[in-house]
Amino acid sequence: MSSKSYLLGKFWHPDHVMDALRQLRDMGVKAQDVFGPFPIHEIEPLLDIKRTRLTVAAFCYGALGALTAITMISLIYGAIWPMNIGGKPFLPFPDYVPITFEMTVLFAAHGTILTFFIVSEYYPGKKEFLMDDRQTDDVFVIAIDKDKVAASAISDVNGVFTKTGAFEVTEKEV
Amino acid sequence: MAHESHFTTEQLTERYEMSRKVRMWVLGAIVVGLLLVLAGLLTAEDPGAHHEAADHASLVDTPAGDVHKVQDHGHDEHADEAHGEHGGHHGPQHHIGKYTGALANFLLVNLYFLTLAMGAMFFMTVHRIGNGGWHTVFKRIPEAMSMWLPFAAVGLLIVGFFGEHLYDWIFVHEIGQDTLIDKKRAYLNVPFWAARGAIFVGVWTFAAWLMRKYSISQDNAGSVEGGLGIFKKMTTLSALFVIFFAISYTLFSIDWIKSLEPHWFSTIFGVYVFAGTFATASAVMGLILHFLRQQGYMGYTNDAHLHDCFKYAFAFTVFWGYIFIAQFLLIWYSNIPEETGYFDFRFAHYKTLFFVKIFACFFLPFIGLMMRNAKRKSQTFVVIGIIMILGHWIDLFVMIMPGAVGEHWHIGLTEIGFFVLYLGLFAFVVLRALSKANLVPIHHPYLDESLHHSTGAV
Repeated sequence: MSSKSYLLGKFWHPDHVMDALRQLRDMGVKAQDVFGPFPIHEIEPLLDIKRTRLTVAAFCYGALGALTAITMISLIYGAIWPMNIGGKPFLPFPDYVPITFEMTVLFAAHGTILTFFIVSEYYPGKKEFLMDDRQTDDVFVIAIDKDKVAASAISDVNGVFTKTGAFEVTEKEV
Repeated sequence: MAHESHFTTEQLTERYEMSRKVRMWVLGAIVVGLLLVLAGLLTAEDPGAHHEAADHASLVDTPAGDVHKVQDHGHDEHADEAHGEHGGHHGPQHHIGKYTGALANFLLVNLYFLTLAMGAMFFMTVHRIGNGGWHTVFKRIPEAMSMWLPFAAVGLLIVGFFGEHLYDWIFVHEIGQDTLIDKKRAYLNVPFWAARGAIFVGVWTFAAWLMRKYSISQDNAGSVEGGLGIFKKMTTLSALFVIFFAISYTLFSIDWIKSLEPHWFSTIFGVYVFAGTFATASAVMGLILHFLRQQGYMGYTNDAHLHDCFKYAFAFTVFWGYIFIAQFLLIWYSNIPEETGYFDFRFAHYKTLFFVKIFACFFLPFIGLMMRNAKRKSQTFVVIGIIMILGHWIDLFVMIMPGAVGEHWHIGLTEIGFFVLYLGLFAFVVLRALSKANLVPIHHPYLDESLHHSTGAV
């Protein structure tokens, strides 16, 4: 596995991170990612993150769950083992609603979370990777792929970090 | 920090002003609505004219309310068998005259716009105690909507005076006429009913007025720190209101809607009314915000605010569907004859509307608002919002009319007229309340958070 090198700017304050990102964007430098102890919601447009397609997956799983529920109840109560419950018709559609609803939720929830784990490569026993140990506590880290920055611009990037209030500017090989 | 520079002070202290065009539209709606109502009243026909004999007969025949007797009776009569009525639901017992429909409609519009105001009240109080900040920037919209409450109180007071023409349990006032109603006399009697109505609407109106008063005095506090004391008062008030709301809204919907059919039980009824209330109020809030943005105000809000308004609308249509099926399913499945009458009667005489409301309140908004962009693009959310607004009206119509006018419903000049008239009045009250204060609560501690609100990657 080839190693990658990242330029890191470490900040105490999320507002400083936002400032740094705005200035970097103006310079035309794209941050690889930002790590921090809590989410900064408005950061996503600045990072130019593409919209997740997880919602589409969730819809598909939900539809699959609804379809499974309807097919199974129809087959079981309609054809394989019809039962007389309280004198109701063998295919009582109002009865389907709660089961269909629950199956939709079940499939959508589990399918989405599993897909998320698979896509993000989360699995039991995975060794966690941290840009800085303190990023789970009180430090925000901006990581920039060094290969994507022209060698002459590296000092400018570090300059932005320092100017906007980074308390530490380093590089890290991964 | 940087955020201060995004918006100038002038922008944040702007005030809404009703433009000439908007004034004309609002006035036009009021005038047209009034004319339609008058035309409807003048052309009203007496629905009981050729039914009177039959209605009268059933009143005499059936010592109504004696369930066993009614059931036996039902089995004898072929007409009732055909309608599948097991619950002894023969429509209302009171006389249905020329203007009963109009009166029921008056009740309907008053309740309708009351639900919008109450949805707005619930929205802002629950966000306050839940420390929700994202809505702060357009907080004046739910505040303005809640200013409708005193007008709803006046309308309900008028309906209350004519109560015996709508409510069977007021009409059947002699002991012994109706066993089931007799057993509920301890709760369903006019003085207690009137007192409850006065206390509920009175407390809600007072809470709405106080919330707004606090909110505006916060503007004058000079700084965020100066307004913190008021902020704490708002928290206390909100917490008290939400507790009161939970109990009073259930009782209120039982008193004013469910008691139209006093033989029927449903313990989930209040939640059902609330579900429709909150879904529609969220959509209306989003539409008002969109309207203000179209008019050139609220430049500091972004699509995320609209997105989250319609997220609420979306979520609560699902909630509505859930409660609707819960109420229906338990009655349908358990075969309790006294309760099935409620739905039997609707299937017999309100079938189209009954299914239209399921589509307008659940399926269409659910599918229509599901996509992320549908909640952000005005082409979709305006259409779905209007469908939800009409759906909520049909929902209330199907709740109220069977108990008030039985099968003699129709949607004509009076019905449309009342809705247009009240839409105009509601719009006027809300827009006037908006124009009387800053559009933004400038010293609200969560304003900053709200200005930064974002729903993620675009």
